[in-house]
Amino acid sequence: MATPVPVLRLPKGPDPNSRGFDPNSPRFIALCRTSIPTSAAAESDPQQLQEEQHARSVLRERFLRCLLAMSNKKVRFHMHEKVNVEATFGASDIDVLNFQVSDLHTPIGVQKEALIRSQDVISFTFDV
Amino acid sequence: MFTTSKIFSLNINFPFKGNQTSLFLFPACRGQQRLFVEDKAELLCLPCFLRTPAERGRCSEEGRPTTDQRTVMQSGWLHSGPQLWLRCVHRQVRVTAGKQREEHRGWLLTVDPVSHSVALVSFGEDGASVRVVLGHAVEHVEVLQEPDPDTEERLRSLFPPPEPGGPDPDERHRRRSGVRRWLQQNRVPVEEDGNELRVAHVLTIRAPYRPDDCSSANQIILDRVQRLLRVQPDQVTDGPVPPGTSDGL
Repeated sequence: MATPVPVLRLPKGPDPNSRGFDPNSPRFIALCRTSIPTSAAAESDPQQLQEEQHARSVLRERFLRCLLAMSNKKVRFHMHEKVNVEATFGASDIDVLNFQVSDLHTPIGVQKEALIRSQDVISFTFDV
Repeated sequence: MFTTSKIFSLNINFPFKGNQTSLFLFPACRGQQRLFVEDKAELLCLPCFLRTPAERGRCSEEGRPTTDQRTVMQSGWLHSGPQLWLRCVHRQVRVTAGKQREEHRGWLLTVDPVSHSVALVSFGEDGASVRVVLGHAVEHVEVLQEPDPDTEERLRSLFPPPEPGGPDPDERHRRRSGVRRWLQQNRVPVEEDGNELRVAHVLTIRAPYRPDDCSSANQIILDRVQRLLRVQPDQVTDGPVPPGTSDGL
């Protein structure tokens, strides 16, 4: 299954200004929170806040290095309904909401470039 | 089990996961949240519950010895802060993910504070493989054991942080002059500023002066200088810097 297929034009999503995709709508804020806020305990105590911020930055840096090591490597995405696809990892966006991949092997062919939503993915693996 | 007359049970819908979680509130503990430890069915206060078995001692909250069984962190994992996650890094964990409750076991590399994604490493015969479980799919996380020194070393060397300044001063000076000459030969205004090179006052190149060490707010200049550095020959000839006359470059 290595024949490249042309880009599929899927139907347009909902209008970005209406409910659902509006970044200020309660549904969006509930489902796609960009980041966890500081905990209530840390907000009152500046020392603890500093420690928490340090922990957050260390963890985030390790995660970003992990993503960097993954670029241009073959990764396998495990999605819902036991769907497993393989692709070459390109990049992720800042909130880890979308992944840009190349050469996505799908049952209907190989997509040259694709954008995968993180809500569709359960986990992904790669070899170091 | 417990006398139910003393237990209030709340079912709370967390909007961002759509799951139901039960929290048991015990009035006797002055409103502190408690979570079950399933193995011994013993009650723990939240700080003790979040510690791994090796770290627990006497609970200071009420003077009872805490259990030494493994813990099951339910949705408490997501709500505990980055400090707990940092303490669990490099330990072996078991993550249950997805609706099918698949289990993945591995050494915890990191937890992304933005997306709650959990990165696990497992070592095989031919190298290591990393699995990242997205935050929205994480159901349970269970800490299993501490790493032995060999594994700890392997984990540390997996994604090493970049070397800070690197080479000794002479080497650094040599590289810096080489890069400066190359840029000047290509008609790029550059000046030395201590250990860094400053290009046109908007771009800075730190040691060791590779394309990835450039930083600037101006995207176009950054791109041009990085391209130049990538094609820099290994031996930059000491030829004359073109003064102002064009020479076809």
